[in-house]
Amino acid sequence: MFRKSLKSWLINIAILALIAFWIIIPWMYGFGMAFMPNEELYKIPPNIIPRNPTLANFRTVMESLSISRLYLNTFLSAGMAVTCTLFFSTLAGYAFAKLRFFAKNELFILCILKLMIPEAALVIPWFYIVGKLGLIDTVSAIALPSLIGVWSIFFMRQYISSIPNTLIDAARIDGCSEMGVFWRIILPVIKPAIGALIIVNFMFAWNWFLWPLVVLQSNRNFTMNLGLHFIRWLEMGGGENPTDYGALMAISFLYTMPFMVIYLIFQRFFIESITLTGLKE
Amino acid sequence: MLGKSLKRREARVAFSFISPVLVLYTIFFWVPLILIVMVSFTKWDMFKPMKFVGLANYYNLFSDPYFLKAFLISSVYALSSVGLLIFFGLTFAVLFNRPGLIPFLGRMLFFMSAILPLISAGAIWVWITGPESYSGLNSLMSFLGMGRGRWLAGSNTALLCVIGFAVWHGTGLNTLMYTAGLRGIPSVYIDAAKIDGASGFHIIRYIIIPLLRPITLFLVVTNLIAGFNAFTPIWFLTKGGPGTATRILPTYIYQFGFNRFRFGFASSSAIVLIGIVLIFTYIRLRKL
Repeated sequence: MFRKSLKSWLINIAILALIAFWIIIPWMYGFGMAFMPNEELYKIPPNIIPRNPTLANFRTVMESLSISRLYLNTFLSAGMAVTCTLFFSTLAGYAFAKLRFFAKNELFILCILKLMIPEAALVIPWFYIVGKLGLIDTVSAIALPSLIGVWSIFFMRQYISSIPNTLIDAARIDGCSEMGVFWRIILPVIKPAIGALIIVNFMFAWNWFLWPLVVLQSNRNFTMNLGLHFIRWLEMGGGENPTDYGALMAISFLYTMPFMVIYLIFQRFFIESITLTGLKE
Repeated sequence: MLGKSLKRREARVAFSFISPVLVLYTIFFWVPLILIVMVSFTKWDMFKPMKFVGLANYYNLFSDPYFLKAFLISSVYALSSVGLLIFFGLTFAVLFNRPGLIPFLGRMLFFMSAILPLISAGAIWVWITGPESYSGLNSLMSFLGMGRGRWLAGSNTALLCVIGFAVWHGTGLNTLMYTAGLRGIPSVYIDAAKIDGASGFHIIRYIIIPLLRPITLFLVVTNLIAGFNAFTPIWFLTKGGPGTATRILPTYIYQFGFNRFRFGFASSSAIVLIGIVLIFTYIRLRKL
């Protein structure tokens, strides 16, 4: 008995150490640095919690970037991507799951082929097409290619397939139109899937880096993560100059906080949708 | 008669439902895919019209030692991060899969770290592996009485640091997947083994690992694909540098395309990357 409790005690200590070194210390220090004055940033060993908190690092960030613009751009492009993807992929998912039409499976396979093509390959033609549309370096260009939510269509199709056909047929016999079936029968049933879809697409948009990097050129059109990238490389210049860790953590703090809030609100959907699909950036 | 008109009505509705998606796919997927295959046979800087050059891009690509180096680094990056991710993911999932407050805390925090944005984790990693004397690793080294390393800025250590980042940030997601898998193992199997006198190690080796095989396979292939596609972490941490020490295939494509405007050449390397990823995807579809 005693040996057994000793063992589980030791395992708990190991878990605590793991949590501390893997997660808590790096993240707490990261957020702490956002509020540290320079003297504390250069201290060895570092303080985990800032002694004299200051907003100087945020001021440094604001000298080169307009934070409100970055927020606006990020939320606008993410909002556009999420709304449109949700709308289109729910409709398409329903059609692929429940309706019969010509070349259905072939079209579906042609769509999910997108999952297999690396984004690094697609940005070159995207850049050309968006250039033809005259949208280079605009906020609306950021969301455009993400409107083809291949993952979302796939997810919706799987989810809607599980709805029994009898439910739909009963509505049709009662004289419900096809639009009415979608509106009155399908939509109420798939509410949890919509929650998962919103969250996952928001996460994709919040993390999306390569395409904004390609298409945006001026600071005022940057999204939040391009702002981070900008600060990260601002003073490196390829030389030996140190990165301004304070400013980097300050903007990282601004980048992460809204995301954390949204995560806490929708936590339930998050874990469900991740385990359901094994989603990967 | 009625059946036929119903069917036609259904098809009409279906096409109106999927037509927005089809239009978007045509513009942003099918046309680009054709375009990139086409462009890979041409010389093109996006300003002047394309010039057909046949297989010259592919010839130059395979005779470029830097391309072969990028391919090698990509493989090292993907394979070693996959191995470590699987190892840590499984170990932590088994470790956290017990009753009590502390394991619950472990699960919670690792799940949370799995969904935190990649780049904000990257910002912390930049500090941890920075070359300055006050960076995370160097503070620790001086605390332990050891010398200072150049880490992310050193040409020998940079690749190690990027792999470290992939493992540090990715373990949460792998732990999450394995935890979900462990929950699915009926407890009777483990109880039966315990009654037969199996030790904890034997239970893990002969019951848990074989039963988790489908998840392991899924994670290996998904992580491999992600490893070969990993543009964001590399570009944020090192921009493929110092020199070409961490230049993987996606950064190679990006640099030839958007820094040097050699889009034809970049497209031909993109085709090679597509080929590699397709092979892994094929394996994933076959095995799952």
